[in-house]
Amino acid sequence: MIDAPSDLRIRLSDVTLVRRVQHEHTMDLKRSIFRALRGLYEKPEERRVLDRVSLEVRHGERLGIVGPNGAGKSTLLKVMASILRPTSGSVFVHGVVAPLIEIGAGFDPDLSVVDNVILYGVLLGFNREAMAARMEAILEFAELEPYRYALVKTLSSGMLARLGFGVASDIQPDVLLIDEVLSVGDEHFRKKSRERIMGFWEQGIASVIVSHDLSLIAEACDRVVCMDAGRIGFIGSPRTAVRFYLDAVAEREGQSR
Amino acid sequence: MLERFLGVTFDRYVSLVAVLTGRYVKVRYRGSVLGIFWSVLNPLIMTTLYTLIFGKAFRGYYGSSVFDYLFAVFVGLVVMNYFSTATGQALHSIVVNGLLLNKMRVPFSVFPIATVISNSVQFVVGVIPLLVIIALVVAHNPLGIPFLIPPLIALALVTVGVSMFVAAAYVFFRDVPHIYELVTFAIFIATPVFYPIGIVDPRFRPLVQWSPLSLIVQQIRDVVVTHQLPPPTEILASLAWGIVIFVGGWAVFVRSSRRFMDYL
Repeated sequence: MIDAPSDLRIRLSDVTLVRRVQHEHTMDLKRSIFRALRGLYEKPEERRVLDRVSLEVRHGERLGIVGPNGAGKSTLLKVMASILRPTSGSVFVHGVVAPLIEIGAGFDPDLSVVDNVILYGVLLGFNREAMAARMEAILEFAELEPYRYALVKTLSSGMLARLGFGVASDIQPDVLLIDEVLSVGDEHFRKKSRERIMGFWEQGIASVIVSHDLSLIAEACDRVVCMDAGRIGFIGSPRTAVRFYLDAVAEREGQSR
Repeated sequence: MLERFLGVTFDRYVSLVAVLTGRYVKVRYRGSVLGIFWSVLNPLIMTTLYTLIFGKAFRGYYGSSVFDYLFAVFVGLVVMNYFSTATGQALHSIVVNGLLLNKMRVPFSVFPIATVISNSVQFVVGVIPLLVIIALVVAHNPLGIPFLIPPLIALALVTVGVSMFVAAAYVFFRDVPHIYELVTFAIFIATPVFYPIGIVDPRFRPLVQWSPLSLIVQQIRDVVVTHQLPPPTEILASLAWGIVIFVGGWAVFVRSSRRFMDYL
């Protein structure tokens, strides 16, 4: 990345992702062998989930991603978080990335809250000592101090969401990746978590936000991408992108009628 | 080089494996002292059973001592138990964490590795002290104790290699657990655990004798039961098996892991 400007945070160049499509019979070794013996081998079916996507996000920018289910929004975010590796094209992400993607997937229900904070933090990429040092701040933010030794399986889903958000957001990131997590917990916690995100935005931390909440996207983002079957259908101002998306939905409904 | 292979820095890899190992050990034995001894209790019960049933018939092969038969069976069972439990758990380790792998960037291999290590902790704490005690008290073989190290290294290598292989296979084929259950049973029967190798048809005997787990069991028995030192050929053969299976398992895992996310 010789020519990367210093405020560049994310650059995707021609990112294409091809994934295999699973069928019941291909996931079964016994059946696969019998089919192969009968000469029925078939190449795995593939689907192009992302198709030559190029975009850049700089420091201070907030990029929204909208689009129908299956258009590749979350996939795009997972590529930015290096969870998925593109089939072709290049991904550049600068600095510490905070992926707030359906947080809570790393919890072990049979461990205590305290143990889970350490486990989850280490899975996210921090070391054990750093997590131990941040323990009190995290518990306080999640309002779970009285539950520190409770097993995570005994927490309510709202508490779990708070804990997940508390751990994942308690850092100083360079890049924030947000997938539908601004609506966790009750109204009180939602306000609190939004305030924390706003704090990051005031510092100008580059953010990418996936959401079906179009008013949130229109309000929070500088630029919005509308994904359409793995491609960038439109990229531009929030208002135009949202209109593009709504028009596309209306058109599709018109066709199916 | 190592970093490219592991997918993350070495430090991060170690802290991931450490935290996952701690989690597996903790969840399995939370609050129960009995838990850590389960790895001993189960083979003890099975040993009693085998000795009651086969002891009289097979003792002729063990210097007419039912006790030697008993200890030989115990050694065989703890090795087989470790191997089948660790690989059986590692088999599920990638698929079970599929959801997590879709949300976070974690190298795949930490899950099977942490599973094997957590089983090894149990083995080291529960089984190895017992083996040493038996070697000292029953076989009066203190000089042989260092010779427990090569077969145990070989056992760890074989277990990791097979674990990597089955964990990868299960990502692609969801009927692998059923097939592997059959395979572990076949391995158990094909290894002289509760029967003397002398009863095996001489045509197949070399095959049974030189199989990886059989070599490992045999060496530990030499030290622990029959106060001998294991023959160098057997030490080398088992280490060679260990390296081949370890490298082979990793190679399959690394090559196929590029496709894991399509199936998780």
